[in-house]
Amino acid sequence: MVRAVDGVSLEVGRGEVVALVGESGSGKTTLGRAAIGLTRPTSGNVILVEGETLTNVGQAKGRKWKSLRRKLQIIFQDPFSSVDPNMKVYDALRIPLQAQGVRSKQEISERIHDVFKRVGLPEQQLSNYVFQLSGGQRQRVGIARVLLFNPAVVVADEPVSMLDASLKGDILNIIGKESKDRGTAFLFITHEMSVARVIAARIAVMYLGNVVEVAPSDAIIEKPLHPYTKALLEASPTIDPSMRDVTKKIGAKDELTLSTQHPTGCKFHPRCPFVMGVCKTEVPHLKEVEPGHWVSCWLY
Amino acid sequence: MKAAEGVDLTVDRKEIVGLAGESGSGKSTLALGMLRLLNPPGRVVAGEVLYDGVDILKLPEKDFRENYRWKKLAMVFQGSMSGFTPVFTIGTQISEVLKIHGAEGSEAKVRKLLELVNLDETIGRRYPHELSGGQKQRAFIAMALALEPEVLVADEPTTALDVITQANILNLLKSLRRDFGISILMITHDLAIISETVDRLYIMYAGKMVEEGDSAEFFQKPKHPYSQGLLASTPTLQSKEIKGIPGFMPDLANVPPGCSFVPRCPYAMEVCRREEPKLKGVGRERVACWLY
Repeated sequence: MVRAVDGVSLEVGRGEVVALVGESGSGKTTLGRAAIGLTRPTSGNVILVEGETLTNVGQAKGRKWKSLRRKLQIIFQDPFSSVDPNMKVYDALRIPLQAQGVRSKQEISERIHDVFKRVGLPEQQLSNYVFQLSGGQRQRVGIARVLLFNPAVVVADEPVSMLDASLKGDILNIIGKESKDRGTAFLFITHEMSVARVIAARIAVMYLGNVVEVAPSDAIIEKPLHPYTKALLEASPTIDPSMRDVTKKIGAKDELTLSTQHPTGCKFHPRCPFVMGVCKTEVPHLKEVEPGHWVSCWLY
Repeated sequence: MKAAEGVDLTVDRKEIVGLAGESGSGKSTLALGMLRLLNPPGRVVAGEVLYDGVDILKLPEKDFRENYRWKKLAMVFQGSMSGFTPVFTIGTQISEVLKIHGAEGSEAKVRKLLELVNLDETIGRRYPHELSGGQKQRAFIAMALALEPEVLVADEPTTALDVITQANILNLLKSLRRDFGISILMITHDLAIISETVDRLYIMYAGKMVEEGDSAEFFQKPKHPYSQGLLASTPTLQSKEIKGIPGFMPDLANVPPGCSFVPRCPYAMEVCRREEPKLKGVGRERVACWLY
């Protein structure tokens, strides 16, 4: 049995954007889905704090769950499969509203036009079919669909990874604006550190199911503590033509051969340039090394 | 529909050249066309692909296959990870490529190739599904290098690989040029990767070449408005914001007259809407834009 996510504790505040950075297999998508109840954890809780009421998302059932669903939303990575291409754009937004019990045609129309404007799409697009839209446009429809309910928490799962470079900025701006203007909390999942820095106030780095470091974005980028975070940053491509004949120094070996067993002790130890004896047998835990800066590593 | 038109691209010995563009730019179609890999209904309508003076597009299939494909020109594509068949081991597949082309397909030879790409010899005995994405990509590069080609065409060789593996693969490609003098045509949408790897680059937009030239000069001062927009859209770790380019690439089946970038260009002038600009020398580059 593989623990996709193991021993994670994370808080996202109102109007905050927290980035979950990790590569494939890090557990970030599983964590994101668990955060809004799409996956039930085998143990642990997801607590939604609205005003003074605490609701355990993992325990909600029936009508309570249905009303929670409105407040917890997800933006998917692939705009070509997450929005049904064979529908009219208007219907892609009308149907979720009706599913949540909104009856009035007037209200439906108003809400749809409102979110459409918020995601910067021209009204004419509403009468098109989704298949007539480009990837970037479809992603905006996916976001509009999420915003229909003014959610409290949105998990954005690699929302720009499949989009061309020139289209990413606009999507990120929409998300930033919503979090600022509406107080929506975003858990922004990505494998790109540079994107995380731009969109998020805090970054949590994940590796094979564990959060290995959490800190304000500037601190993660300028003063990374965990060897994996350092390796990720070193490896990130950046605009630097002077590098063209240079072998980049990477502080970690390649990912391991696929296996159903995670390494013992610290899961990063087989790839870590600073590995010590204790790393192979004991699992480290998150420790606050500096105010607001947590790291899970035997070096600290 | 013209996926690419009026394109002129050169790769010299021991050079690493980048071909950059976003989806719909025509860069992958161009690569496939160059390597005689376009599937019908796609076809090369006009032009030549000169390899040391020989137009390989006009060669009979047998000649191309025996003398050029794999031997002089090898390819690594994004789908390389599914370029191996699942029913044979990696070692068997690499040795097949060697034997089919009349070279020695021994275990020793396979081991040497795997070493070249920093893969343990035990990888030779594994099946493709037992390897990670990065290992498969390396193995495919090993297979592409089997007959010691002079040119490697790599189309998005690191997309879908994790960042650390990606960096290791790029290091590997650079060392191939340095140690073996292999020329590389690197095709990708990622300008950051291009900046760290290539000597010269070409930027494609809507099927046309809009800017080309020396990489260092390009990154210091990109000239075409699309290039400027693309660079501004490429985040680095120091970026405080990521801009975008408003609008969308035109549908290649419906290209309006004049410069195809007009709807998204902040500098569009009258002439831009009427006439398509041609590539013109500017500094150590060439740009297709009426601003110059």
